[in-house]
Amino acid sequence: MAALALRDPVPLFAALPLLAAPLAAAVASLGHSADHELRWRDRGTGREVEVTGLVHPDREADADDLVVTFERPAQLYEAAPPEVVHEDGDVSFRLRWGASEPTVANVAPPEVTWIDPTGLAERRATRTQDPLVVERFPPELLRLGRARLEHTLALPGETPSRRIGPSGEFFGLREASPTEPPRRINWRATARVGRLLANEFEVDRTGDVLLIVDARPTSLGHAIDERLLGVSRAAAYGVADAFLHQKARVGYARFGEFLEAVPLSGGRAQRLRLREAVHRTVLSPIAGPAERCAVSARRFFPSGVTTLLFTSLADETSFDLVPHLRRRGFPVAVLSPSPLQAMPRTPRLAEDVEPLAERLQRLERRTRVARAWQDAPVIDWQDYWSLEGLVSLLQRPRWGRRTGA
Amino acid sequence: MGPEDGRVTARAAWYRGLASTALLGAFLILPALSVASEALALLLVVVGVAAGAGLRASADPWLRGVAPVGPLVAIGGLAVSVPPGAVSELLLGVAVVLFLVWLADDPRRLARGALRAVPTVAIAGLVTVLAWGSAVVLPPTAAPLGVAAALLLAVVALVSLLIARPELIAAEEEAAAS
Repeated sequence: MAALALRDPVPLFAALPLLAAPLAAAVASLGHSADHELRWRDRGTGREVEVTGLVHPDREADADDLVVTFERPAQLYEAAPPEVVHEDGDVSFRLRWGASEPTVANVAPPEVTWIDPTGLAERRATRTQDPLVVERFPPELLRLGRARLEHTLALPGETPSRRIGPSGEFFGLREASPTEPPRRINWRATARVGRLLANEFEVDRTGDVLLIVDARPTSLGHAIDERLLGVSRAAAYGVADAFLHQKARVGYARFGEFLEAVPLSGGRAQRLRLREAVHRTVLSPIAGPAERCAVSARRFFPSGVTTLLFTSLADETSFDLVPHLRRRGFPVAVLSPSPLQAMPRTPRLAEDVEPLAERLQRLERRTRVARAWQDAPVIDWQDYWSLEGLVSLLQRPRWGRRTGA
Repeated sequence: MGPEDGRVTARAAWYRGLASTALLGAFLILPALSVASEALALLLVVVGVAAGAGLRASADPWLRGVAPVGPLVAIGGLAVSVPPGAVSELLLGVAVVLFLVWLADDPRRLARGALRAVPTVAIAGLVTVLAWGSAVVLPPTAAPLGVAAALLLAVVALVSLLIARPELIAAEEEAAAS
């Protein structure tokens, strides 16, 4: 344009390479590809999430111009900038994130693009990869398998547990401890070997557990509801994982406007089903009536199944769920993530009034929990990284019957 | 979130410095030819190149994206201020090709991008040289100009095709061998 306006050929010579370069880059990119093989895993523990991996391109020559970008799940925060290193025809990466609370997050596979060095042409990978699942639970869940669950199967004892205990089917012999009860000593084996040997048994496990996540909106607002639901989802998946490991049957239900249920089952397939269901659990825009939850639950699950309800107890509607579930024959325990921990810490009141407001909030929360206790045992989950309260409650013998369900 | 290549070796820094120096050097010759004030043209070049280099080192992806604007504005300003002539046309074309080399040496990406960008830069350079050769050597009449343009397009298309599909040459060799 400048050349025509000024009747000067010089700007044309400046424009010529700039006009030719995109075409040249597009043509030169035809032989390149961003298709690759991805090997990655989560190596972190506890609150730390460390995702390391390797992108191995199909054509080694393309590795130098592969640009790898990552999408961090909203539940995780960035602890350090991502490290991407091109080395020996591969691209290795290390992502250091953190989880501020228990979470189950799907990390989308990194976006791998071959970009021309001048940045004028690019090719995206055509092959799709599976996401990486990052799971972070309170460590107490590892001990949850010892909890006694209500039997709902007609023939108990069909499913042996992996746990070794004092009763059940004979499993093997071991050295007796000094405090071993005499009835557990295998006297014949002891006489044969010449030292005290004790029997070990494979504990029978046919108990069932139903996990219901209350995904209805509350007056706390969308952001806090989302956060509480995220913590509940993680806890639900962690509890399910712990019981499935013990060969118990686990069912899952999400209640928003309607009840969406995964029927009771066990094994690896059920673990995958539950993981999918937990990931699909999002906050419902409309709150369904509590009775609908109980009626629908009865269609999917037998009465008497040990039930864990995850709800914030922030609204009146939350309180109605427990009596309705009990009326339909479900012995319920409530795990209630405290909204006080999820609320933003920005002071909105005067400095001297703020502590008073916080104290009032705590009192109100205690009142709500106490009110819910009238219908079922409630664990006020304040420290999201500890589920000691839940574990000790479930390990109490026959707690469900004592509550009158 | 963008990638961060943690390895910036001495060799990588040397390559990147070379590209930026070549760009600045090519641009600095042009003010001498400018009909406008030499100091003004020099200022335009230095500010444009420095702004481009500075923005490219920025952490903000948006700022990195607009980094080429500085050198482009400088070269645009020089293009309209340089008088027509074979030498100035050639120098301007070479300066823009060097700008492409500089563009390929992105400090956020693996070093030696300029070497990997040789196919792209070579085609752009070839177009410039052919255009400049046609303008200088061929007589200024309409018919040879048309022939030159057609030849130019044909050569560029052929070279582009061979660079993009190098197996075509191998296939021909195999056919000849059999």
